[in-house]
Amino acid sequence: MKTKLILFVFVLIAPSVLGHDYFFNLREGESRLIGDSEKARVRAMYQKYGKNKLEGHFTDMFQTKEIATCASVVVKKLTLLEAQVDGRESLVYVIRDLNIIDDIALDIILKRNKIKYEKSFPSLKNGSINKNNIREGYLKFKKQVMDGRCSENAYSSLVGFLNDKGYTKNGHLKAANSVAKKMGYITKNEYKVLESFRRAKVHHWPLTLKDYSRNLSALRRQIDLYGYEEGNFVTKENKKAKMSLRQYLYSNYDYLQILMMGDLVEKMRKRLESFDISILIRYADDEQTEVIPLEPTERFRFVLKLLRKELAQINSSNIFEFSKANYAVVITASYEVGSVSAVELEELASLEEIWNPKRSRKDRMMSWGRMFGRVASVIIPGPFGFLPVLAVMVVDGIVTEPKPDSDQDISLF
Amino acid sequence: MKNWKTVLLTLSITLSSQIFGFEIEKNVVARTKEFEAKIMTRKLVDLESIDSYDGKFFKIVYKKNEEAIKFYEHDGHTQLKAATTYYHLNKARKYFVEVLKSEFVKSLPKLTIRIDILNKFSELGHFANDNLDPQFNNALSIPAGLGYPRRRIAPWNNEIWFRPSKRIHISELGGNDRDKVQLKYILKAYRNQTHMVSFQNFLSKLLLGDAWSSSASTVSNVMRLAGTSVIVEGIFQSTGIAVDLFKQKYYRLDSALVPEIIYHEFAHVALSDHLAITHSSPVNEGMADYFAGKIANSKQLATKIKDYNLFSGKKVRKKQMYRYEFESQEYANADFVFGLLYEAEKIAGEKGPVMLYNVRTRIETDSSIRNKLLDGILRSCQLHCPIPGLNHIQLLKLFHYKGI
Repeated sequence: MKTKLILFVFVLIAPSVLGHDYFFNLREGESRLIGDSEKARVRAMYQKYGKNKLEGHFTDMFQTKEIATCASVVVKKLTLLEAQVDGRESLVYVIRDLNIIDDIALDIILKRNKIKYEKSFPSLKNGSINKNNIREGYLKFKKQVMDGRCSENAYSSLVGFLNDKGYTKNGHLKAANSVAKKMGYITKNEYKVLESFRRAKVHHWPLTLKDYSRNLSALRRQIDLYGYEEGNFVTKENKKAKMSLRQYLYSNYDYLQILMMGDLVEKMRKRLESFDISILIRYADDEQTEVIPLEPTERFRFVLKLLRKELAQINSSNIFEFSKANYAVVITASYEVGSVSAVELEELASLEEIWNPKRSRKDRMMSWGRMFGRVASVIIPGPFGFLPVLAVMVVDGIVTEPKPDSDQDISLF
Repeated sequence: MKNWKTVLLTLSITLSSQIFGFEIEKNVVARTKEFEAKIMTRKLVDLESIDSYDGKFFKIVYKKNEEAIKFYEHDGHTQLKAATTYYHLNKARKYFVEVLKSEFVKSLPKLTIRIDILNKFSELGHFANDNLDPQFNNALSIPAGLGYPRRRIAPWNNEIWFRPSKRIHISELGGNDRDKVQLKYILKAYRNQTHMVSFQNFLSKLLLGDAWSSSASTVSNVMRLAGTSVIVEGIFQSTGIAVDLFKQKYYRLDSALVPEIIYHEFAHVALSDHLAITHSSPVNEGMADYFAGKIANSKQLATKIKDYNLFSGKKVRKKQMYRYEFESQEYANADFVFGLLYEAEKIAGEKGPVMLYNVRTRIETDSSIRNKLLDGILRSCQLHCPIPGLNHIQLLKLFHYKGI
């Protein structure tokens, strides 16, 4: 009852919270970045300083745009807080645990938190850098930081500038920083910051808090989300990409693309729920028409085929020229815009299996077994040649999952 | 005065039996927890008579009689049948009324249950002439009839008929011999593969020039290859004989003593407000199978009961794929629909049986599996599934993976 009441109050206040709390978690389930040891650290923090007190403090902190949208400032604030509270990193986990931020923001803040201002040795390749060429970029960087721009964003702009000048390699960036310091474009401290950012490869971060906040608030202005949902599917780490699907979405697509992809799934869902999909044939020779209603599974496969077609169509459009959409991303986008609920998420995502079936380990082993069996049936002389054939038949007939008989398939789709 | 006392006693017994119903313990065939069929003592409830199988909801009669079988009539085997049918029919009714909350079943008038009846059913005359082809080894639910007053044939309500068992030879059964066809199908693939391998071996020897060399070992190898093919071909050609040799030759079914058959027949009646029981179809048989399985709490029907049934029974076969033949009346008793409904129930969870019971309002006896039945399940799910949007997609996936 108590939980329900809290949930109810939460649902009531959630939309009002949206306008102020930049990364308030409304979509993600269990955090992929908080394991058992981090949970223990969070519990210890709560015990030591009180959950309510910490919650009040961080809620206020993340309602200030200048703080919330810059990881460097967040870390700075946490460092200041460290005088009163031990364990800066633990505090970052506390903020996530309180849902004041989500995993995407957490990941950025954690990365920023790990950057250390260590001593850096000047580059030996200074000769490859034209000092006049880089001056403008460093002065711009300096001005931006002085104007209060988030340092990691200012650094990314600087790297963009240097890349345009042809300084694309890590060695080039190091050398450019050395030259800039030597020429007095930047101070010793600024040099230290730039070098630590370079070492931490901040310019390769797919997303900064600023970018994320810009995308997220633009999206949330367009759509109404009905409260918090726990989508574990979008939070799980994709081992290949080393990030979650949601993180991948915000790192590669802007809010307009996300809206477009969400719309695809919204339509697919409506089509899947339809009980009446027909093919209309208008005869060429007269005005007669013929209507062929589709059966339930035909409707199902038709809808999936249509989605594939639409996916290919948006991928061929200019809007998706640089970042092609795939099915998992489209489903994540639809969850992000609220077209799909958390409980439907995995089920919808699994539909990809229908046109793109994954081969299980058992299947792979069976196909190897079948191959060896065939080879053995040729190599082993008669009359024992039939034994591997028999083994292959057993594999096919008993162990392998039955496949629909294509002769029996009378479906239109 | 004494007469008055007797009249009063009889009256009070009659009245109390009308209100409360009698109970009596009888031997019936029932299932153990391990699904073994055994004769056990069970309580027969809701009896309206103190000396016969005449209850509030069911009256068990012998053949064409209208009077309920007395507890002391006929032999022990007939008594066992009467008690077994009475017991399991009440259990089935209870399921529909209490679990599925069926108003239709609740409002059903008392059903007449005929055991050991040999006559065929006649839509006009209730019973076909005694001289016509006596019926054995099955059970059927018959629709109500208006009767034929000019021939003194009274109207009748829905009834369930259980035939006596009779040992018959397989040759009398007719129809497709599924075992034989299936084995032949598997062996065909094996035989083709073996011939192909022998041919490949022969070709490789031919290309290497070994086939025509005069060495004794090479000739022997070629002979062995040919021998393998001949053996496999021989096995393939004699499949039918082998199957005939090893399979069951005689069959019999005492339908009144198989609990799941009793449930199945009552399920037909419980579904008959929408699914006419005039004839069998894959859909109405599958629906009845599903509810029989639910009442029996089993994924198998009429199995493990060799004393009373030598036919194969039915099973939920998870891997069974859809074939277009399943739509035909010839396959009315296949177990595809049973398995499909069982899988669909799992998706709807606890509300699955209610969801599937309501499917009957959206289909007819002759509805197709691939169209109307699936459509009915999907529509019923919209009303009864716990998470309709999600369960709708899960059902569509299930149907797809079943090859429909």
